[in-house]
Amino acid sequence: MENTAMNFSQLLRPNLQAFHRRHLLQFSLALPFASGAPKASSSSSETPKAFGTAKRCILLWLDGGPSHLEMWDPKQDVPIEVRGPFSSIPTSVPGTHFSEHLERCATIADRMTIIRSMTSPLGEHGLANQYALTGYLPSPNLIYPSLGSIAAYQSQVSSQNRNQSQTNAPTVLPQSRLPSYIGIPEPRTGLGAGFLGSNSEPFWIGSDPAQPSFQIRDLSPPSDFARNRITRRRKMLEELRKFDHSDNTSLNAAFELVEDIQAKQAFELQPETQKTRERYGPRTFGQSCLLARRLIEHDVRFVSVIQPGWDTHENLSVSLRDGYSGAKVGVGLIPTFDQATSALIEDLQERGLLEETLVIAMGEFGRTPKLNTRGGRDHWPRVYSVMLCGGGLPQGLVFGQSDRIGEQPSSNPVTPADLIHTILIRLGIDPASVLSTPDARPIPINQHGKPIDALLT
Amino acid sequence: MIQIKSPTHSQPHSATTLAIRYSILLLIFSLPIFQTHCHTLAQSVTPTPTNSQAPSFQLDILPTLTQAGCNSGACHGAAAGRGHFFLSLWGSNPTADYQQIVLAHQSRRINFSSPADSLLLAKPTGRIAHEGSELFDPQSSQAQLLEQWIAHGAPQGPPVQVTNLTIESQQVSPTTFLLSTFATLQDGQQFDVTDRTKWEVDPNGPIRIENSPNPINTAQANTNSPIRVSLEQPGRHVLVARFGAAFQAIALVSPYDSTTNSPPTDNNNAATNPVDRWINLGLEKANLTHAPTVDERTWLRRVTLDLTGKLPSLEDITRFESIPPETRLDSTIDHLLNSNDFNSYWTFQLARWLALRPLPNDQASTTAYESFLRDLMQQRRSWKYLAQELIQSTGPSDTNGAVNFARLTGDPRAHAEAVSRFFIGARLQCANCHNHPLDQWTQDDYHGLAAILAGIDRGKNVRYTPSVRVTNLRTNEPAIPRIPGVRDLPPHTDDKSVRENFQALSDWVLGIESVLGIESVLGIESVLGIESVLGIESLPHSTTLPSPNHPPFARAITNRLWASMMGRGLIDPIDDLRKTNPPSHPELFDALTQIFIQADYHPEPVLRAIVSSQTYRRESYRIRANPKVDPSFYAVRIDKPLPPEVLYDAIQNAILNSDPNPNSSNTLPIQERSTSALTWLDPTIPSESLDILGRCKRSVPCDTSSANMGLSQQLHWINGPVVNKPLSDPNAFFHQAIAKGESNREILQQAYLRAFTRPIPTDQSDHWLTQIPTDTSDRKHWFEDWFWTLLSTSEFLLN
Repeated sequence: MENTAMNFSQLLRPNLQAFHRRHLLQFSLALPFASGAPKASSSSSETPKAFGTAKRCILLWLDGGPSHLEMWDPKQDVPIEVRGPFSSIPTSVPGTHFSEHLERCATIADRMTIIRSMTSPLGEHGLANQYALTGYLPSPNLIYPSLGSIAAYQSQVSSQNRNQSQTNAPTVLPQSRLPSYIGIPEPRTGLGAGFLGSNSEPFWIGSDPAQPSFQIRDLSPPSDFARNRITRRRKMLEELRKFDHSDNTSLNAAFELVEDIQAKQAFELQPETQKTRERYGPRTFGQSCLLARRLIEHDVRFVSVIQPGWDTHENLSVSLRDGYSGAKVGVGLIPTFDQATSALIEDLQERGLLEETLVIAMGEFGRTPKLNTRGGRDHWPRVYSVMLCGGGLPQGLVFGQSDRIGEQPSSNPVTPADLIHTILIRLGIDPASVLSTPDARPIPINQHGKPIDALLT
Repeated sequence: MIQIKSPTHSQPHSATTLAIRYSILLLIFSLPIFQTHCHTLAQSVTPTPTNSQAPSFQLDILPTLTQAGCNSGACHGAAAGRGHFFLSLWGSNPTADYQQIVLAHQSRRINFSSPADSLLLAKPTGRIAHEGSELFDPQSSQAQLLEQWIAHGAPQGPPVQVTNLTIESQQVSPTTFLLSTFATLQDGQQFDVTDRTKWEVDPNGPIRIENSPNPINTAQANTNSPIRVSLEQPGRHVLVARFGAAFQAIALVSPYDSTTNSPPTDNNNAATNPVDRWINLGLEKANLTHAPTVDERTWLRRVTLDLTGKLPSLEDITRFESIPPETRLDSTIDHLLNSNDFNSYWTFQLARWLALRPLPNDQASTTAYESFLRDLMQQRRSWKYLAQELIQSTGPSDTNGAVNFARLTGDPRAHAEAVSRFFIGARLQCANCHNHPLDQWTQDDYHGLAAILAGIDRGKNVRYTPSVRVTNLRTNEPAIPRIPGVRDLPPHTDDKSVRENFQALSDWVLGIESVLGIESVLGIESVLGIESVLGIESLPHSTTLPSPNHPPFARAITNRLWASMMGRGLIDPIDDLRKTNPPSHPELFDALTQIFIQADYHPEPVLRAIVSSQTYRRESYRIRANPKVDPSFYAVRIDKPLPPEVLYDAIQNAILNSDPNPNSSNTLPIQERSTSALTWLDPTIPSESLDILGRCKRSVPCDTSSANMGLSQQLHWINGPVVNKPLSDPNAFFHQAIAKGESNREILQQAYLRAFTRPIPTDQSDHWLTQIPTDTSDRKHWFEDWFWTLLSTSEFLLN
């Protein structure tokens, strides 16, 4: 489609509602939670115990391809051009080492699952992040939905089903007005809804939580607006629709959010103490993680936090450790990540949220086993690592191995399709259930992945 | 198995010498090349092979590997190979493949003394561990063919070129088709190759191949029977066939199960308008009826927005009503096509298609580029001139604006991608690292185009220079300048040779001269007097232009014009013209392209043909939602969301009587005050509203992009300034009408004309009249809120 297409009105797309209803039907048949009990699935070996243990999910998306060798899978007794500039440190899991700059994460490794045998054939950012985030090899004909959009779609459908089934129930719990999928801070490709359409797109915060003036724009009416005018507009729109049945603009989600003062507080950071804010680190990524925790507390289903800049083709000690050349204290990508991620995991645990919240840290691929001549590492999809924590996953597990120099998996290779398959089970989504494209093609949520049994026990 | 006549077919596996190749070529060209071939001939010209003949490397072995997927991009066809076994993608480079299969590593993949034990057989049959799993049975015809070939000494055979692959289809039931494939060689010989064709079918899609392809004929006579394909869903479905490196796509249409079937009714226009003719034919094939025609006012709003990017003003509506009904539509189209609004809208469209954006710290050049496009449209110069100037211009960038097309690209490869996107409508970038898997483009095409474009110095004073080289990543040698898919050009030695190559490129995109295969390393075309000659050097490449042979630029622009009017390209997406993505209506695409060419590359006649059709006047999806019908049949008008800039202007024009008061304290920044968003060609002119509405920043092209927003825009629409600011402006029409003492009924009437171009129905004005407060301040606020709701409807937001 010619862009410039005003994306707003995509939401108003006529076929959406009819389409959505049809979707809904298929989805509700396919989704086990709709009927309350896990559906037996022949394709996967999920147990009722593992299914749906993660009610919510935070994806820390390390955009550009983080180096497995400088993070979760350091190599020691290897030549310097493989080992790289950093050394490794022991973690709270005996025998498992992380890079020296993941010092805080190392102390909580016993709560994490690390996969060291991720493997994919795609070494180009755009293609690889589609594979990593959707579990489907990219197709020129169809854009598949990303994990967050699938989760958002599922919770929209299930809440509608719940409403339908409870119309006669005496009490209906108030639904969250917050979007079910929120992205922090700015839009990135690959994290969208694909063929599921704009209702399942993430709501992007669009501003930097680390700024003192941080707020989400347009969340409230202009100050000189009497509150009843918003209500009147909403009512008028409904009246107008009685005359023109073909109209199907839907501003309801926005109206409800605007009118829900409590829900909007989830987007504010001022209520947090100075101590908490400092714990996550002062930078955008740290404060974004803090905002993610607040949103999770308000029962948002899926939050993606982007940390850009991991495409370290040159001088990786500056970008990964120092942050700028000559820095005395490292403020590069890894220290920033280490502080924010460890704070997030510990904070979630202290608040009793970690058990039902899955935290994932990953990028689209790893980096070449050998340093290049510019002191960097290039794209390397044949093996890389992913960190998962919480949501009922095993604690202190290192799954799969890379070979001696981190060139390819030496045991238990895991494809992005396998990983997405496994995460879907944890999120309570049957990977075999079927979605429908706008032209009514049935597409399984996950097709080529196999469950990783070790992560589902 | 295919045999071709050649004195060297039993030549053992030695590298063919150039001398031998010469003789082969001469032999091939002495065959009756102009002989007319049709498919019925095909079977009879196929020689009956016997066991004594070796299978052909290029026509039997490589296609078998393609069919099994050995040389696909995910396996050994990857640029990095697999397991140190490197094949060219789909067998596009037979010489290199022969080297890999037969000669590399002291022929370790071939066992001449015991052919069945060759690695080439042991791996795909699963006798030795194979990461790519077992691909065929040891007893299968594929295995037998490979074995037989090795038993004959694994000969390389003569070089042959498949010049065309055709698919023959026969619809035996509404949902079932019989398909056969035929390969045509450079000498005109044609073979049925159905048995070794690879059919690419999306396993999630609705196409099912019912009978597996025949076993490959090894010793028997050529008795290929067609494959049987069924479509599990109605509509148009594309299937791609590969035979070795050659490929072809076919669109199969299975009818919808329509209960209210009646043939298209507006055939009157079909005789004269190619749009209606071909669209109606497509509807008939698919058993679809089309939506009824919209009323004239809806049409007026539609066509005014599509041709000028503006809502019809109150004056436009009055003028429209004053024209006699029988000439009303034609006269309106003429009026719009000749208007200044047309000029400024299509200047904006060109700026967007070209991804015009500012050069850092160089406002003068940006301004010059904008002026170049403005002047082009104001003077209504041919878009042929546009193409020539953008490709060939040199000179100072602040006075000769067209040179900034090249400057914005930065380097030769980016320049090649920009040229292919705008002038060819193709995504050439895949061919940077490997031959395009879905198209005819090769790495030599990509790097060859970049090699031409390397001949320009992108400094402030753009000039030709022969000194810059790009490397062909396939050969690691300096790339040879090349017209993609057509012919090599002389290397850049001096400014003159560069200029000539730029001229040749510009001529090719415009089809100014026939450039089909004039060059040949052998130079024998003059002897034989034929145009389409295949030099040895071009053997690995396809020499066919996108079929049919309309110039690339004419096709690319025609498709864009259609998409601007109709909501989707005849080829969709619009920057993805390729052989495996056929047009939804090929004949219509040809006819419209022909109109564009005959109009000397002026867009107006094409646009006129489209908007004067009945097809253009159909009711929209909004009214007649039927999401199961593929929109590319155009049974129903496809609603297009207004582009951000058009929407921005539409809001202003619907609300305000004149430009907002510049002295008002709450007005927008200077750029947003007095002028239309469509005149801001530079996408970095600050406007938060436009950004939120989804304005393309053009740092990457926005021809295709996914809708990635929703709630943000909704919130901005409700709470932000984009609608609320103009509503509270004293120039808002209802504020002025209230001041002038107009009645509520009059204001309601005007509101509908402004927003929807149509009068308000009486029942609706009666309904609203009871609600309007009498207090002046309350009354103003009521109209602000009510008009806001009109702008929030799909009738306003979509076209």
